[in-house]
Amino acid sequence: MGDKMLKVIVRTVLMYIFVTISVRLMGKRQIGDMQPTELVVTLLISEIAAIPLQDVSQPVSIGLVAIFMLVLLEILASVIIMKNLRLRRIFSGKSVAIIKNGVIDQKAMRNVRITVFDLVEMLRMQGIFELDDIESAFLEVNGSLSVRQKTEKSPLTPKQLGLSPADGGVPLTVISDGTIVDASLEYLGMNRDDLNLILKEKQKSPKEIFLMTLNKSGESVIIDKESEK
Amino acid sequence: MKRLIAAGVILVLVLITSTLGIFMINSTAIEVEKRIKQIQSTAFSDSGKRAENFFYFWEQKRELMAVFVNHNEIDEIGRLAAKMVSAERAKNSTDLFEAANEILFIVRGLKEDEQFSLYTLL
Repeated sequence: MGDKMLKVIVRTVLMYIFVTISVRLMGKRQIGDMQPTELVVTLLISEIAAIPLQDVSQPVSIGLVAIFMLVLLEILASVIIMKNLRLRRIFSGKSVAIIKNGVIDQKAMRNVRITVFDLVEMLRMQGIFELDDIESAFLEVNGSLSVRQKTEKSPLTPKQLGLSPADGGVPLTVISDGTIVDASLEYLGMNRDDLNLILKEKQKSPKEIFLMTLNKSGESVIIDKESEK
Repeated sequence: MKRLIAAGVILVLVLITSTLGIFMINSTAIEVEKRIKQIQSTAFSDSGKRAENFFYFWEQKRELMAVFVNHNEIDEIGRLAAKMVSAERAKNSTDLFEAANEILFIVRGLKEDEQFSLYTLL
C-alpha cells in the first residue's frame, strides 16, 4: 500500500472522529430537524472535511481549525438565540401561519413560496386528507408543518369520554439482542433482580430474548430470538 | 452551560493551534531567510557547506511544518534545497542563486499568509 493511500486512510479516520465529535457538540437537533444556522454549519463542515481528504497536500490542521471554529460559532449563536428573541428571528426566522381559523392565508403562502401542492402534500404526510378538517397550520422555521385539527374533527380522547385509563408510562427497551439495558431499568426504578423475577414468571432467560420492552406498570412485550441456522 | 464550556474548550484549542502554527511558521521562515542570505552573500567564498547544512536543516523542519503548511510548498523547498547542494558542489552560481531566490520567495509567501491583510483575507 502506498504512502499516499495510508495518508488518506489515516486522514479519513481523523476527520470521521472530529466531525462526529463536532456534530455531537452541536446537539441532537442537528441530526434531525435543522434550524437555518445549523444547516449552514452542517453544509460547511461537510465541504471543509472533504478538502484534506481529497487533496493530501493540504494540512489536516487547517480543516480541523475551520471545523472547530464553525462548531464554536454555532454553539455561541445557539446560546445567543436562546437568550434574545429578536436575534432568534434574525438568525432562525419565525413560524408562519398558513391556515388561520380554517382559512388558508394565500398571502402568507406566497411570502414563504409554498404552493397548494406543497401544502396538500405536507398535510397528507401528517395523515390529513381534508383541508376542511384543519383549524390552523403553521410552517415552522425548520420547514415542517404543524397542524391543529378542528375540535369536531379531532380524535376523541379518554378525558372527553370521562374515562381515566391507567398510564404505565413509556415502554422502554430493557433487553436488546440478549443484553440487559441497565439504563432503562434505572429509568423505570427497577434493577436486574426485578427483571429476573419477571423473566422467571415467563420462564425465559435474557439470552433467549431478541427484544423486551417494559413500562412502569410492569407490562412487557417479549420477542424471542430466532434460532440461527 | 455544558455547551458553553465545550465552546470555551474549543476556543482554547483553536487559539493554541493557531498560535503554535503562526509561531512555528514565522520562526522557521526567519531562520530560512537568515540561512539563505548567508548562502547568497558567502557563495563559494569559503569551504563551508552552507547549502548542505540548509538541506539538513529543512529535512528536520519539514515534519513539523507539514502540520500547518501546504505539503506542496514544503516539498518544493526541499527540492530547491537539493538543487542548491548540487549547485554548490558544481560551483554553479546561476543555479545556486536561482534556487535561493525561489526559496526566499516561497518562505516570504508563507510568512505573508500568517499576517492579517486584505490580500490574505480576501
